[in-house]
Amino acid sequence: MAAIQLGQAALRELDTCVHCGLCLPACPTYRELGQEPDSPRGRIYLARALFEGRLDPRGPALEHLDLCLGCLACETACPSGVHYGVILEDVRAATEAVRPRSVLVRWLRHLLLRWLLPSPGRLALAARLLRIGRALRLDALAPRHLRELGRAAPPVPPRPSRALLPAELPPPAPAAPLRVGLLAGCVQDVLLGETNLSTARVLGLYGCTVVNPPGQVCCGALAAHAGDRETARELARRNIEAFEGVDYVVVNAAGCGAHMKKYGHLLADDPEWAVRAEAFSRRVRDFSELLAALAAEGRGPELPGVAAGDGARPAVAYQDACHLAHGQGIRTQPRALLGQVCEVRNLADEACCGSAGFYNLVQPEMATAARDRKVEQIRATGARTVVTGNAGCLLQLRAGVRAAGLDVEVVHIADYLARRYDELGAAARPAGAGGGAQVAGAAARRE
Amino acid sequence: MAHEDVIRELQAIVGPRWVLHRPEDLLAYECDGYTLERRPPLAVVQPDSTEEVSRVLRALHRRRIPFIPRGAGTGLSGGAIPQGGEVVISLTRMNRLLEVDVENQRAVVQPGHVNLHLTQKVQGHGYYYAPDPSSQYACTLGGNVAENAGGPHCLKYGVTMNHVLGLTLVLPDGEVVRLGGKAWDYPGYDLVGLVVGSEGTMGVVTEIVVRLLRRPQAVKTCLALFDTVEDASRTVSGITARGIIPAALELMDRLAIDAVEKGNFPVGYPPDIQAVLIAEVDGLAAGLDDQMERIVAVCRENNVREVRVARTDAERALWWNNRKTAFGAMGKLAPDYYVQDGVIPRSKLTEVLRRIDEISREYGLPVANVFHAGDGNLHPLVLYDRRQPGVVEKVVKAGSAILKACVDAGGTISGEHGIGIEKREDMRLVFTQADLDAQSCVREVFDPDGLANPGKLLPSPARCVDIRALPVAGAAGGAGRAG
Repeated sequence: MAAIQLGQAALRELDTCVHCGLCLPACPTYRELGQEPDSPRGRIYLARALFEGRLDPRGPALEHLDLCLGCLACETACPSGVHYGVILEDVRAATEAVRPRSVLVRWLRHLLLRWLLPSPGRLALAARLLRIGRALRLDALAPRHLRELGRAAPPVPPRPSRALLPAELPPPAPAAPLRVGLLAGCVQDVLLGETNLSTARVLGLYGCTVVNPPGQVCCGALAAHAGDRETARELARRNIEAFEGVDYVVVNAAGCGAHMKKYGHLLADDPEWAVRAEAFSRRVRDFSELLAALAAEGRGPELPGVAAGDGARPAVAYQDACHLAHGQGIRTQPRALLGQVCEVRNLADEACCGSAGFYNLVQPEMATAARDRKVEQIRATGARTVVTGNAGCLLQLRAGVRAAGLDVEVVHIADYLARRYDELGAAARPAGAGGGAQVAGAAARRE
Repeated sequence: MAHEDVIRELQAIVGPRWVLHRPEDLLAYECDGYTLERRPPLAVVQPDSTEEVSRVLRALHRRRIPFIPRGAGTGLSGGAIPQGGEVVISLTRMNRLLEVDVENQRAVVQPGHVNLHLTQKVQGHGYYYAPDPSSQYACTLGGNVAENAGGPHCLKYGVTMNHVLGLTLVLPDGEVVRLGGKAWDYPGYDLVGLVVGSEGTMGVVTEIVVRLLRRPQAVKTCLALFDTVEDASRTVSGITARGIIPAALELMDRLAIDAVEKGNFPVGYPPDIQAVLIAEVDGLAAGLDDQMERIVAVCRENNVREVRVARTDAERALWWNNRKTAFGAMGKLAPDYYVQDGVIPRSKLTEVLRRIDEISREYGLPVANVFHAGDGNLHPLVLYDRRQPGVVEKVVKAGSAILKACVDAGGTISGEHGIGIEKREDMRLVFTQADLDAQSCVREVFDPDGLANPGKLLPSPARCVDIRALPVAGAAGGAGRAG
């Protein structure tokens, strides 16, 4: 039986797991099934057995790894700090070649990961086809879970967001502006472009010049999670190139941000790119992460009439996107930002909503179970608005809320902040206010 | 496959989804938190009710197939590890909280319920479930019953046995019996006390009636940093000698501190201190400050370098998270660890620690120490890498030597983790053959065919049938009994 090859980093993580089991209750699939092979500890055990040649990678072992959402809740729970995501990605990459997959699935994966996602032009074309398909009601032919997801998506805008954003958008009141590159994303760019426009507007209120480099592409997270590391590496190189010369790269999708913060790791063994990749990763910031840091330095819009304890503050539930909370450790920042303009309510736990990249397309049963759990938690908060920091969660929760017949809107944090700032008549701070120079300086020092 | 018919019957009872039998599905059940020995089970079955457990056991009993009850598999003595050929009865689906009776301070839960979840569910009423093993985020109440689990707060509140009022037990032949009940005491033999800590050797527990305690009005926690473990140990004796009964008294030595500081909850301990002591008092708010001051005074008398009282709940939670993840964090120091669970009289703390240090040097294996110092319950963690040739034998020997040191000091070989397969032979350190034979007889009353978690808890051979064959006045503890 052929053993699979794993990299040094993954092997180190395997060694760090001492099989204590504290990760079990954090895992959504274990909670659903109560079965050890579908727990983080069990999957690590299977990964080791695959590496040691005790299990055949062509057998059912990979079913258990495939059922993993990759939510990384186990990383938060692990006392030893095992980076489970490194193991998972490595196993998926190592087993891709030997996996029993039908020709059709291989072709579809290739089409999606190597042909469609990396190309903004093809994505825009695909979006246009989607618009036509919807107009002709072709979506009625899709399986139920896809139909539910499709209905949750907003109408496809006629043009991707990057076509609407200028190459450089200076802030309304420049105070030693920071130059931040905005990752337009792949799916987000064509389906949820509005969020990118909101992101750019809000960044402007925090004194940022928003840069929209023409060469940027999909971040590559989907390819990496699916085991196509070569595509992921190529996309990383193109983005590193495209975002040269900005202080920060701002990402408003949790999964993309978590992945781009690991470009350094992804290209660590590429002598030509390793150093640049590492430097790039250090400049990546989640949208809420950067804004909260700027707010702490006194930047950001002036918000008249939102006194603390103001009874008129609307209640919103905040949903932690896994790749923000577990992947990047970002929990307080979005809550702090929202807290400026509304009352923030927490959901019962941080469990994954089931979206998880394209997990909800390939594992509909488990994804729906996770989603419905989450919707119950949303209902329990009594809030009429749910805010999240990730496009995948957004579509998944919208579908869930709709299926449950709940009158709750699901909004991206950038859209929500933009709307609230408008409602409150927030104005950009005049030049000279805040400590922008310090931030810029800090960014420069980081290089 | 030889076992196709039993798999089919189990599938018919619980549904095909809840029976695992392919090698790939069984591998993860090879071991629990104890990883020195590993063998896959025949199958894993996940029943959903007492009724299903009964039918499963009946099916196995008919074929004389042994079984192992298993919760989250966080046990540390190998109590849920197959020896080959058993069916694992996984109780993870039976995780419901069946009844909460706040007025009478009790609740009924299924065995798969996670320990911490019970407290989370009743805390809104002002109650909690007291036994809090360090694995309480993950371990199940069924597992706690099997191992008679303890935890940091057992110093004041007692172990699992002191909090279980009644049990529903499915005997190995499938018969369902109820032991104890909802009242705080029952006449007759204490069969609940017998089953708690029996490590699954008497059947499968399917319902547990537990006591709930009122949350203390106030809690105060202090953290004391010492330059020597001896000073910290003397502080422990000093606190109890003054008649203070802390809710918890926990100690970690340098190596343990190294691990937790690299883990997910670093406190930021100075890199050169040798011991950390956590002392907690709880109860009525009045008088708590006074108790804490007295504890701080004892720390000062014993050359404490720094002592802080927690100012916020967040600070207190961080200290406890740091302490409670100590075992799991050992992965930061070595690929494998072997934890011991010795108990000694508190007054012998310094001398036994010195002996453990000697053993560590004799065997060339680093040993980190985490202990429930107040109860004299030590957890020396022997660190190793299983890939080194011959190291496993050395680790096992060092573990036994540590236990012997505990017994020699007037202690015993398990405070809260149970015996499992790990310490079967070490049972001979504390019991004579006659004692062990008597225990076998008790076990066989419940499990005459030896199907319930065979090979655990008691050293082999230890069969009741031998003792029955003896002449009545025979000296059961005689030398001839050893074989």
